[in-house]
Amino acid sequence: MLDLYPEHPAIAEARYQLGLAWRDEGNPRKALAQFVEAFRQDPAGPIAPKALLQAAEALDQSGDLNGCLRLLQLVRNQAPQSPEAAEAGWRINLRVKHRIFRPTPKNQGPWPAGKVKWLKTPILMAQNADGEIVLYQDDLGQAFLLRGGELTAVGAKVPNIKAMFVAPSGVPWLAQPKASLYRDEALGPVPIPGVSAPSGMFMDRWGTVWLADAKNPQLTLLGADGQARSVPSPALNALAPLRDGAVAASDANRTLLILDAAGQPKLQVPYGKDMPASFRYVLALATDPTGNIAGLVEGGDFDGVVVWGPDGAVLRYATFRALGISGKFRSLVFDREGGLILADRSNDLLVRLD
Amino acid sequence: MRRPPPTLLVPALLALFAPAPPAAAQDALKESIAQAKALWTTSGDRDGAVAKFEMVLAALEPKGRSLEGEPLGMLCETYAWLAVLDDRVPEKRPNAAKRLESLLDLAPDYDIDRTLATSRLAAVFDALRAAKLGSVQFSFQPEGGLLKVDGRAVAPVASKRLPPGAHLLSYAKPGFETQELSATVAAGAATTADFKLSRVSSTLTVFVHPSGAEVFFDGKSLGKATGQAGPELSPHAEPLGLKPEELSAAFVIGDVKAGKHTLELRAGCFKPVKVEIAETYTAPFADHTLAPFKLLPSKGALTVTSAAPGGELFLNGQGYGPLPQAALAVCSGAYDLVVKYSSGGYAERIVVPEDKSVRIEARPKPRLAVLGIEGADEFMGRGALAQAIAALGPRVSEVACLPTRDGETPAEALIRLQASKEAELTFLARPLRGPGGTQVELVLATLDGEEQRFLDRPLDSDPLSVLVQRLNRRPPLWEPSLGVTLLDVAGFEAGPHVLSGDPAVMKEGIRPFRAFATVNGKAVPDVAALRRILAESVGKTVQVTQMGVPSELKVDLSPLEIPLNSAAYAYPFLLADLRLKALAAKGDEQAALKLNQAIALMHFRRFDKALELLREVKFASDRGVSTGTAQYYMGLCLLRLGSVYTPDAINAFTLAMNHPLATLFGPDGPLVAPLAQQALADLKP
Repeated sequence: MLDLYPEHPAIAEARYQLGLAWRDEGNPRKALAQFVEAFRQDPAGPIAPKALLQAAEALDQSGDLNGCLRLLQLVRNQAPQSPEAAEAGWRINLRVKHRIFRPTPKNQGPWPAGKVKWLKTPILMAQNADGEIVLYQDDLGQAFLLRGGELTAVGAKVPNIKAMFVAPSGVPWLAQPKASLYRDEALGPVPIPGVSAPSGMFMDRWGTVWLADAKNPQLTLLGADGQARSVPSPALNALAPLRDGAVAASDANRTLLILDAAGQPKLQVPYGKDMPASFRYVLALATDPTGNIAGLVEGGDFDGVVVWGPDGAVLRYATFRALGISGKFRSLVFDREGGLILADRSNDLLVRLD
Repeated sequence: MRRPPPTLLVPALLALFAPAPPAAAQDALKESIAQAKALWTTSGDRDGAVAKFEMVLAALEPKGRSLEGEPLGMLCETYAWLAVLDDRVPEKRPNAAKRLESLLDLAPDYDIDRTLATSRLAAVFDALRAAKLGSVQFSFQPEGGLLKVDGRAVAPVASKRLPPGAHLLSYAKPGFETQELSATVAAGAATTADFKLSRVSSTLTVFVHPSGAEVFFDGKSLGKATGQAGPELSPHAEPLGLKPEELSAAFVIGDVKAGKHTLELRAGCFKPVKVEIAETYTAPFADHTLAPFKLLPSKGALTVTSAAPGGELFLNGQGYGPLPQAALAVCSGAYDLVVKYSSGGYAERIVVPEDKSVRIEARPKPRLAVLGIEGADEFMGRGALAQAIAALGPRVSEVACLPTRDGETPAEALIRLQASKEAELTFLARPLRGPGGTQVELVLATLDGEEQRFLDRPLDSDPLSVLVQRLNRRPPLWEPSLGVTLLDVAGFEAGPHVLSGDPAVMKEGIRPFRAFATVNGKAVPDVAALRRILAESVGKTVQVTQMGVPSELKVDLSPLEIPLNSAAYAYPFLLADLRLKALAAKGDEQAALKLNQAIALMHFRRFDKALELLREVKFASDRGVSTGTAQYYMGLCLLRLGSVYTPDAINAFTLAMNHPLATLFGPDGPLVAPLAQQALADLKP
């Protein structure tokens, strides 16, 4: 279209879509060029704020944090009333907080404030498209949407769940040991061959479900068409999505693996690298849309929380002792303010770290 | 001594003119009459005098009864003198009588000079007059009116000789009802005509300075008070500081009915005067002479300057010379101000108030030649469209509209304009007939052929609105900047945070990732608030505090790029406007304007012409939109020109990477270097 109809009014949209395609192909520099061209066509047009937002993300993926921040601010300057401007503001704050200022994590106590001993063994957490938390309470065998401090049951009631994510529809998908996947209450479990001990799960932007297995040396990718394929991998103890792939933890190799869109490792970060003490196990991983990675870690000389950047660099860390908290933390998520929410299964509460 | 033959030039010339000879010819005739008289009175040269008089007669006699005023007087005098001269020669005496008859036919009231005529001739004249004419004895009540005899105005005399027959007499005076009488005149007999007029209204006689002021009575113009007053007005003129000849002749306002009225006097360059005429002036009916009016001058001062060279000032079509014009004293009022440049023009309707100074900064605006509607075929809405096109000029403030020329087709106009370069833009409306009706394509183009088309409907309430909006709109070319890139960060320090900056600014002690807490002593919450302060401080220095430490930073203008394909603009207009602005600009300003011209040319896919301009772009500053930006665009243009230029494109992108602070779009846009790097990677096999 670009070659045949260079003056067509839809050129900006075409360039934008081409940029998204390059992004999904894992080529942020080519994506950046297309997003910049989409913006150039008409900086006041409807595509411009989206193109600029994506260009900013492409710059961050290319390793240019300052360039990313400039463009995010440009979105706010050029289209202050647009939803992209609000999104840009949030992404600026996350990046500056975690990667530039890096304040020492602080324990803010039970979250929501005042809520103690109110849960029934929370062991898993995930977020829906709006950033709201869905948590699985083991004693109840049910996932719940947490909104306004209140819990509402969502999805199928299934006991003994080991991995969970929230689909775009808002329904939690639940994985049981021995390869059963629960999507819809009405449909019943779906067997997943080759997966015996699910340890992490998410759906990527193409609708493919990634499943990590703590016992089998493979990463299972379940396509939207229902076809499953395996990617060779060490046994993985935790899994979380990144914008262009995933992050996974291998306790056996004591390595954090940053995977590309095909599931192939592109970066490996040894446990404890650039930290005062190392750890042995990663209990849970969480990520935010800017590519920051948070992990609940224990064993060795370090029990606590670690935050890595998208390039695997350690940004912040804190032991539970230093944070003044104790409990059995089994899951964590980033909230919209850049803080971390930890699920304490022994004290039946959630804790927020800023 | 032989006399030179009488010249026939003057009669020949006079024959060309009717009814009255022009002033120069009249002067020649007067001279001839004077020479003829002198020949007789001083030399006794009868033949010479007769020859001269015959020459005058030949010039004036053909016009006969149509003559009035001085030429009539000259003809009468000529007849009289010829009669006197013919009477001197016995064989010519019959001619004398014929001359006198002709004289009496022409001017019944004419009397010969009895000091020149013999008593015989005088007796012949009297007898002829008595036999040919009768007389009318007039009485006038009131006196001082205008007498007309058979439709011709004559002085209201007590007695007048007229040829026998019926005559229509009328007598009129302002404030009185005109009276007409018929009089039958018998030869040799006298009759009477008594005029007694009835009063029907009052009159007002007005004298005004300056002469030529327009007189308005009850809001209606009655004409101008012209001429000069006579010396009898001295007692009234002197208190006003005027000589009587500086007042107009009497302007009589007749037919002033009973009641209140308003009288207004207006003259260009003078303050108008408006007075209420009280009822005492209008009833009972009477003639009133008002005290003379002296209008006071009404002037203002006009200063016109321009950064562009070569402008010439015109006000209401009158030239005032080259710019700048400082404190030009002009009459107060409205003017069509035009500044003509070698390229472009500036036009503005201005008002110069009395005792006020008006300052205009002119700049050449693109001249838009309106070519009209293509073709002569009728279609629905053609009339409305033509009207809208004729009214386009006042609606577009950023171009100077040149209207269509009568009788010139659009094609002819285009040829003329391309040869004369009298305009930068052309506009043509082209009807497009289709099964659904007729639409109109509004074609806006530069003389070089960069063209943009807008589709519209001739029957819309405003068929040109799509064009007018775009011609009145320009994208911003500059934005104020402190030389730093700022960031909104919540939850840390209050105020916009510094992300990065020009090395010279950072050397002042500005630190990255710390906030500007205050600007000019006031807290600024975010980047938007700071940008508003900067917009009002261009060219000035502002004081910012960061971590309690103040710094003085200058607010400069950083260039912005125009969008490449926005539907909000008319790109031929943008291109023409940028070209004109660049003529008057220097340094980085000119470089930025040329860069934007290149982008406008890229909109039209004129990559070759864009390339030529980009080669001329050299910025002193290396940050923001700058030389590196131009290098990057050169690379893009070279890629468009074909694979033979790929090596040059590679060179351009490589040079672009040598400018690490160059950006696209504006000072806070994406850096050029990574994009150039990607372009190079794409070009490698």
